Amino acid sequence: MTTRIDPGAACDTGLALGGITEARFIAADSVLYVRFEDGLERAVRWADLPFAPRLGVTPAAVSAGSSGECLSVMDGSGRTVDVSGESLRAVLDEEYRTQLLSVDDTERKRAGARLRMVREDLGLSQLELSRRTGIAQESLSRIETGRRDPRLGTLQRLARGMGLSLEQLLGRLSATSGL
Amino acid sequence: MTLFRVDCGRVRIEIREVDHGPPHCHVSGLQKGGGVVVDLLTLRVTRLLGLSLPVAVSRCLRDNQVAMLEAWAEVISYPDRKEPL
Repeated sequence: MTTRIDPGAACDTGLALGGITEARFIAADSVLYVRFEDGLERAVRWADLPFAPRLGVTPAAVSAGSSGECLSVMDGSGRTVDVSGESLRAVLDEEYRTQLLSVDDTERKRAGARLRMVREDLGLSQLELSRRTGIAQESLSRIETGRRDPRLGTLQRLARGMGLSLEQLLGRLSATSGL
Repeated sequence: MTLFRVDCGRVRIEIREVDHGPPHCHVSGLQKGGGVVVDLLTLRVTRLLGLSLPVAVSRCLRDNQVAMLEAWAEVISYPDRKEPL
């Protein structure tokens, strides 16, 4: 038995999931080589990847992860971290990065619109919800219009301000259809 | 090791250390080895069109939604426009 999570609103963006078909790490030069499923090949110094400093991993070996949708990086101690194929490709392919950001913005707008619908269904204005939560109205507007993602803590404050539990708010967000 | 991983039968739900917003998880091991991306706020399948999720997986997503949103705070986000609010 299967169910669909809001299939009517699901979208096929046409954007590949950043599938990686081959990955190698050339330790002598600290260079990562990757090949994507559409044939694009890139080699890049590990240190030049924008997320490398925060990741804090010196690769000993890499591999294409599950379904090729991520790069698994293992360091000398055996610690493994996974890098999304989409994020990696976005570093190496400017056109892809532009497309990915556009798709992400669309998703943010959809989620934000659902949050707005939940608020409006409860008869709350942005101003009133701002007053109840202490979250600036401008911040609420940014979330509802898909310009920013809400943190978990922000969602908890919004739920309280709406008189809901976090689980109830999330349930309403997933139940709201048509967006 | 991913930031968050839960197995639901043969289906695996994961959040990766490096990914991009908005908050989402990857569901792999579906029919024919396929995978989808699910938005963590709405639990909506954002890719790919028309793929179905087993009921048990949908339940697993709901059961782990808050934990996944919590885990998402640790994600190193790239590319992204701005820090979350």
